[in-house]
Amino acid sequence: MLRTKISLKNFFIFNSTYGPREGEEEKKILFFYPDIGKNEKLKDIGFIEALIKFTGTFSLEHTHTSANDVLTMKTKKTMKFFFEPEKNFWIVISLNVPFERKEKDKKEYIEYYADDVHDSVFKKILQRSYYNFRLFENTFEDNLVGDSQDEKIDHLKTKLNQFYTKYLLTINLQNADILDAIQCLQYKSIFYKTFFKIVNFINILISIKNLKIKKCIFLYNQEIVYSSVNPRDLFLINEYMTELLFPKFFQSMQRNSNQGGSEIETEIDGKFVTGNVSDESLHNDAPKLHLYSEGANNGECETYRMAIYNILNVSLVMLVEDDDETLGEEFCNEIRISIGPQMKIISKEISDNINQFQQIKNNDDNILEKYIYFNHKNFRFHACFYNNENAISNRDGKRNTQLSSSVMNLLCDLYAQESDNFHNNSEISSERETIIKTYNDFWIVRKFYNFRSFYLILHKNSTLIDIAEESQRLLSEIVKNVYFTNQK
Amino acid sequence: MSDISNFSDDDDSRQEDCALVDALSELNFEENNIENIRKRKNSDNQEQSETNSDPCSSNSLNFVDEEYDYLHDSEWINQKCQVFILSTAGKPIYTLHGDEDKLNPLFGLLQALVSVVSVSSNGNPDEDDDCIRSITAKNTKFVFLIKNPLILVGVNKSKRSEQQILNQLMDVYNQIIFIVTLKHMKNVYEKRNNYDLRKLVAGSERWIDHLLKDEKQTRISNNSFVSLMHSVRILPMEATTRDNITKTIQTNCSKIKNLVFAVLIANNKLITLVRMKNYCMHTDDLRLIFNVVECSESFKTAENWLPLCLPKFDPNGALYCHISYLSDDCEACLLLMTVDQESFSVLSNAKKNITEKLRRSNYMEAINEGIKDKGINLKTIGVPDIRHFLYKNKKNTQLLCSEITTPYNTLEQFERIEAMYYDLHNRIHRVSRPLKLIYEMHEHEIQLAWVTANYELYATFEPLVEKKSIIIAQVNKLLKYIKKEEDKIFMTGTHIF
Repeated sequence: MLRTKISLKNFFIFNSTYGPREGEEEKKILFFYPDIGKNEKLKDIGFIEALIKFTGTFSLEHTHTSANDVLTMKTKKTMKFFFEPEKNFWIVISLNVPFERKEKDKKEYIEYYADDVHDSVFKKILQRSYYNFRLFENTFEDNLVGDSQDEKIDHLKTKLNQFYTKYLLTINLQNADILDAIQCLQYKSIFYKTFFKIVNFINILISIKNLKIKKCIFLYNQEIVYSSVNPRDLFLINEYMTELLFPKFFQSMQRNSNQGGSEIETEIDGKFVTGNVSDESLHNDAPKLHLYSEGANNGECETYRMAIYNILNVSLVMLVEDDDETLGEEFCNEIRISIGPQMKIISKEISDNINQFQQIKNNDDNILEKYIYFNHKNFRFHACFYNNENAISNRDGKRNTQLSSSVMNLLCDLYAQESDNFHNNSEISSERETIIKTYNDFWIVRKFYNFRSFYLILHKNSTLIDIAEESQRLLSEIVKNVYFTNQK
Repeated sequence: MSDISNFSDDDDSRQEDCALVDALSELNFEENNIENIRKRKNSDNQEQSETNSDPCSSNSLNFVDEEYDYLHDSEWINQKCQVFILSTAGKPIYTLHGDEDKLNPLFGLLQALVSVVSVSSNGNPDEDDDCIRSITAKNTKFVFLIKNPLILVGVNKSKRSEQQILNQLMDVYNQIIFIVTLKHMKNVYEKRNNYDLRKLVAGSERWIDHLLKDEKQTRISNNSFVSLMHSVRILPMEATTRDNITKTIQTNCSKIKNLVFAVLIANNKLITLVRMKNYCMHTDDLRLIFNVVECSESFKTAENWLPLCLPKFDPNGALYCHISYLSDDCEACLLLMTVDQESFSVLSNAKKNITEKLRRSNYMEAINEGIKDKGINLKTIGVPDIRHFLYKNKKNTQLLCSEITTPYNTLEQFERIEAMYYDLHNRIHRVSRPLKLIYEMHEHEIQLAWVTANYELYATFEPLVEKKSIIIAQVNKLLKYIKKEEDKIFMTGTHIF
């Protein structure tokens, strides 16, 4: 029998203060997947409540958990991750640990692989499930709408139900890997000149007062080229676009062109990705986004409407001030008539760019080794072990890596160690290097300097000294490639 | 027996330790023999607890406020390492810090957590039982070891891994078996589910305390790596001297029937071990002996006769153990272990003869020289960039360490480097994906961990050694030195009566 994959056991949200009295416990349950019997749900919730109480015993009042702390509980067969994103609201995800039926001395037994479930990955997946809700629906607290307490809770429950029933279908637990832990984005590499042209174009766009555009993201072939949105929100928005909006949009484009519309025509005419394609106004269709600032203005909410305009290979995401006239007919016309043509020019320039870039790359020695490179400050990464060009934005939602699961597991281990150091603020400033060798002669080299991390995977029987030299050479080569374009 | 096997600490390094010989029956542990051992033991323990005014024992705490609330005591809460032991029925047995009687609600909660998880998969006969393993909240890890009829819980705020905390709990569990024997413990719980095991452990809690507590004054010591590496350290001496000491023990003991082990230790290191043919002493058992000897001052003043159980040797039976120090001027402790409860006077005589012979041949001086040793002095080997190292000889599970010098001879720095070794060891030995080598450059040092078929090496270097070729050259030099001095720094070969 093969090893099973990680699977979702349950996912639930509760607030203990809603059902403090006996007989009213059911009110605590705000959302529960799968829909099992009431008593079972309450038993699971009760268990989490006990864990929270128990672990709280060992920490002083003032160091109690904050929204960033994810608690974990492991049993032989399951793992639970839970956290409190808003006061008294707890979100819990339980996973079934992969297992394999084996035989020893003619007796069957089951071996569980808890080590394959990485805390660092699933903690982030849990947190993302909340941040995604907040991005589209605002906070739980804000969704307590109604006259009576019961009405408020019912409204929140409805919202949670609508959102999470769909959302849970999109979480890809089985292919979750280091990218879910680092939550960085891969940017499209282009030449400086074109890059600054785009920056300039977007700055002008934002300065046009009557359009009320506040933030923009510029994409080429659904890959990010430039963004003025903060990295965490960008990650969520990107996920939403690549997993939901773009696939739907391109499918409908396909249908249209099959139904007789000439393909060239649709390519030349820009289209709004959001809303109904034929609509003149986006006012009612554009998704509302709630962006929460961190740091100094922690917790402040800014609400925008999101419009995406696509022409040729480029897409422009515009986050527009949310008011009564937002994204009306006038806005749409303005974009079509004066913005669209400029985007067309940029699109052609990037295509040329990429052709040239490809040539330069081909002239270089081909780097056959696999690596991942990311920047902790601007949340960008570059990986070359995914089969599809853009690791995050693939339309069937499956990541296809060329790495064996054992190497991927090691990358996750190394990343977990690194991010622990990061959180403890130790050794951030210094340059560090780690080289490990596995039993099947894989070498992984990790370098960290100036907030950049670099993991290189080599497979050969070699010595530490040789590996160190080779990685140094490859690093400078790769950095040259990655930085070829849009870095200063 | 669902999955405790999974829980056990059978990682690589332990598996290769000398295995228990199957034919335990050969030893003829007679039922009533063991029964007698127990009777004697209980009375011994009672005597001990009467004479011993251990501040932690529950009787002596009566004058303290019964209502004392540890759960609001910041000192208690902030303890880096806590261990709780309870019975599966929820009865408190032991807490490292505080008084277990006053922590009743906490023990109740622990028992509830364990039982909720284990019954949650009930109802489906095909499924095997689930059991709780660990909880992590911020920087605190809670690790559970369920060994029916006991539950052990470790609460740890250091950076140790779950597996390492689990190993620590295993040591504690073995220390309990060492005192009570597994069979006896199971018997009493079979008869009375809510039995209070403290009655049997009374007086020996300090052995458990000593296993867990970091005594500040002796903290900066290579001793703390012994349990990490599942190994023992050897008192260095010339091979011929060690051979002669061994021979002295052999000649004086060869005629004594039923003698299973003779162990000579000093300063937490092994000098020699002689055993009955076909029987091995497991490293884990040896570590328990070291622990007990180190924290029992009374052994220094008189001959002792105690029944002790070596859990890896036979968890269900006890050996009678004659324990005494060689003399006032030589702090080496000799343990003679037998299955024959009547042989106290025989062993006492043998010990006298051994002491006399060793004194006459000046071997006491050699032992005293060895006691002064602080570990390998790196300056004399010519490896200037190595600051400290740990070397485990995998074949005989013996550990060699270098002297702890600057910058690691302050408590703060020692604990930092100790944590780094723990982290390194955990990563290289992860059960699901072990590694052969880790090289790591940190801010304040460079570390190298290397596991081969014959040895494991963990070395710490000066931080500014840029070239890896220098590091490799010095490692090779060190390995060459160890090979050359092997006879002196390790105990090679086995000795039987």
